[in-house]
Amino acid sequence: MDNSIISIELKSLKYPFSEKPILQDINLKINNGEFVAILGPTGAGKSSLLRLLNGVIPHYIDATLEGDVIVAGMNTKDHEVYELAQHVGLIFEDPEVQTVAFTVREDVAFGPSCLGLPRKEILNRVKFALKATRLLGYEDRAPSTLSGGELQSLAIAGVLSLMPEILVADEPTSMLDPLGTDQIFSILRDLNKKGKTIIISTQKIEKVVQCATRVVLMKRGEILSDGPPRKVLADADLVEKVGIRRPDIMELTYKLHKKYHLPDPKPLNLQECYSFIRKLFKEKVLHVKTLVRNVEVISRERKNPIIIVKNLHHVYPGGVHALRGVNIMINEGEFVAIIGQNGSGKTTFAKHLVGLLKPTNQDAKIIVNGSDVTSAPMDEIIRHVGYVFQNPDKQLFSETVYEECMYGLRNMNIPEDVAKKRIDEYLRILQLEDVKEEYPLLLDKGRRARVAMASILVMEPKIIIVDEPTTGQDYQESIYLMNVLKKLNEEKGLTILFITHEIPLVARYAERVIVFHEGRVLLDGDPRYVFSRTEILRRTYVCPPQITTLAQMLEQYGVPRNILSVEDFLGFLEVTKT
Amino acid sequence: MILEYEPKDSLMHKLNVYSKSAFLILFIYVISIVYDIYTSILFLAITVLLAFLSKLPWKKLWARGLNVLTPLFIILGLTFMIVFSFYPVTPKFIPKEWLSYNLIPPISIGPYTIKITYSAACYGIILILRAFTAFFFTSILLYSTSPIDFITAMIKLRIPHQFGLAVMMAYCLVPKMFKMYSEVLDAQKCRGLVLKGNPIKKVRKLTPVIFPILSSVTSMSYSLGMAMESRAFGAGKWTPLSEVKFTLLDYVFLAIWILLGAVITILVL
Repeated sequence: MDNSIISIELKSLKYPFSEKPILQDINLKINNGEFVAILGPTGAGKSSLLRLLNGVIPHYIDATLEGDVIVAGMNTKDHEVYELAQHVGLIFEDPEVQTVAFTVREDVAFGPSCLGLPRKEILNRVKFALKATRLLGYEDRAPSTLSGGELQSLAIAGVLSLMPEILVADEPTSMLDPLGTDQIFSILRDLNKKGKTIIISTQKIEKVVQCATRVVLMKRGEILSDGPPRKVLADADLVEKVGIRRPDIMELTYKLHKKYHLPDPKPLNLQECYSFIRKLFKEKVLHVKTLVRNVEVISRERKNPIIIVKNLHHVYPGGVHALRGVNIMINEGEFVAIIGQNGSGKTTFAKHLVGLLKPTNQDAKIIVNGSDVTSAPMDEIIRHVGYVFQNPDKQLFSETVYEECMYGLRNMNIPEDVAKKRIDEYLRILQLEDVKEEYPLLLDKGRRARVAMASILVMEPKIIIVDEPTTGQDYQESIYLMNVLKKLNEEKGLTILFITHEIPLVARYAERVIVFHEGRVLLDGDPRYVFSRTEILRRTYVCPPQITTLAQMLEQYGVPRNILSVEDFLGFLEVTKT
Repeated sequence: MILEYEPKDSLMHKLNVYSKSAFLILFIYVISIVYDIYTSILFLAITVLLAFLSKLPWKKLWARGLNVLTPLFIILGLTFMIVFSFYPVTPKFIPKEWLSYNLIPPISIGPYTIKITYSAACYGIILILRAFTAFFFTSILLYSTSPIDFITAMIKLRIPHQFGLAVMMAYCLVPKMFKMYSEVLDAQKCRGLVLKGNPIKKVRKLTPVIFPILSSVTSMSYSLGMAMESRAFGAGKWTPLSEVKFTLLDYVFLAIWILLGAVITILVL
């Protein structure tokens, strides 16, 4: 017998009402103490694979299973979920739907209480679980008062109190801000060091490769590659085929290798890459081009202000001072990224622009496209500003995609023939023509987000605000959505504001970045300017892109501080001729 | 329309679920034996006092239903007054000669006359006072008692814990639903939803709000169920985390309730 704690030998897994199996020919053995990262695009079957592990499939979710899943010596078919839950802790994407009680203590105690353990034992376990997730001292707080990161930590504590030896996390950080993401990864890493087996699926590859001991690449229900992260991610072609993004630093050394035939150390963390490049600089293999020592900030001439916000304050009924004097001017046709931690006031600010919230101070001024938003009615404002909400499921209601787009237009009293033309145009831009007559809620995640976006775009506002468009989307879908926005920005001159936590996307697409911190604007300007102000950014826990950080570490060798992409970086490097 | 539990440091939060519920029992007992304005005022006053002792968030309470219920209670009370003006009712505490005394001059509309007699007015006021007492006390009870304690009490009363937990989970969804409602409403407002016009039109316009909520709640309860299963729900056992304890405070309150009940009983007899 081998010493694997999990052994999956699966011929196929099929959900009722679907023709194609979601998983097929999966052979996976996981040993005690491993940290396994399961990577792949949406629809790869990652969630289904993880849900097999504690028996939620097939006991809670109906599915046909061909093959066996053996966890800690138990076949999941023959054991109930509550038995398996004592060996496998499973946590989900949305931290909000996982709380089952009204205080932190009761929530963590839920599991052991269900097992009918003695009270003293329950309290010991609660203490242990809270300590492991750094929530000691939060016992009597209500889960609703916790931040996203803390709430997800609570979900981990909730399963840890069952003392499982395996912890399975299904995209645990996709709904969290950068600070929350760091919290979760550091908790998982600590648990792994204490001997727990961790299996995680995530899109945050840069973070996960730093703690994973093994990476499994999946696509369309099959495992394409399985092995140590360095080995799996080194195969650039395969990684691209799967459709995930490689860490910047890995991309950099790979390209250096291709261009100059330098050795490729395949670095997984910044330190490795830093020592490698520093060595090249020291040995004078590489040097920075002498001519250009700094990146010129190229800004497009924009003079026509379309959004003017002056001295905006907002105090929520509970007394939370969400905005403390915001002054922002946005010009027509700008592509602006708004970043900052949750609770920093990003969304509150954006909601003022569409009139969903009103300033709580008298002297605030918000002018959007020439009209005063503080006094104009909503149905007037939406002709200028479109607001795409984060979760498409919270707005889709029609029977067809076409009808969904029609709703806004009918409210605006647009004649039917004009409306039809517009819908066709935007459905084409968003590549939704072939699902025009389909039921929106049955589409995949990426397409649902597109439908939600189309339903706003057809109203042809001059400004569009997109709230976290890429949350929960995979890399390719994120890039697709951002490309569409970029295209609309360039071709139609649409002013775009997007709120996000995805720093790499900001670096790649935004022409202006506004950083919010505690209700104020902390930084505002060109991404190159913003990301080179590392000390100020650190205050709000925003990390510049990995490649920018690397450039800043290498500043003494002449690398500019404000590099944004791998291509940028490569453009400055030259091989010293010998 | 309800307030959910919030852990706070207050006198009412320290009381256990039995001694709090005892007030409800006393209230029901009293309204079944007496029907007068003074006890109704007394009970409302006690309830309001208890509300302050439990640090009830008035603003939130107002937004969560008091704003709707206040006019509703008053309209109900008025209706009651008008209807009872046509019935010969004789409350004990009203002097006989006042019985037919008209509070407002009778108004004639065609063949009908509308009048409010003194005694019927008393009935209406009693109804309003009692409705508010019941509403405030329910809010206090829910606000200051952890749902887990209700389950513990239910188990003591030999109600299966699964049933209690199911109730608690539904209750857990309430604040999430409020949040979801405002999110969906905001999203649809951005697509041109304007809630104006007569009530029938308004209700029809709410389809784009209700539908996403229903589908989201369904998927949310599904996920919640999965999270519960993953936390060993279904093992068929339940150890309550804390026992319902009786402290000096509880005995004091219970004594007050019993005393109050006794005094009222003696006065009535």
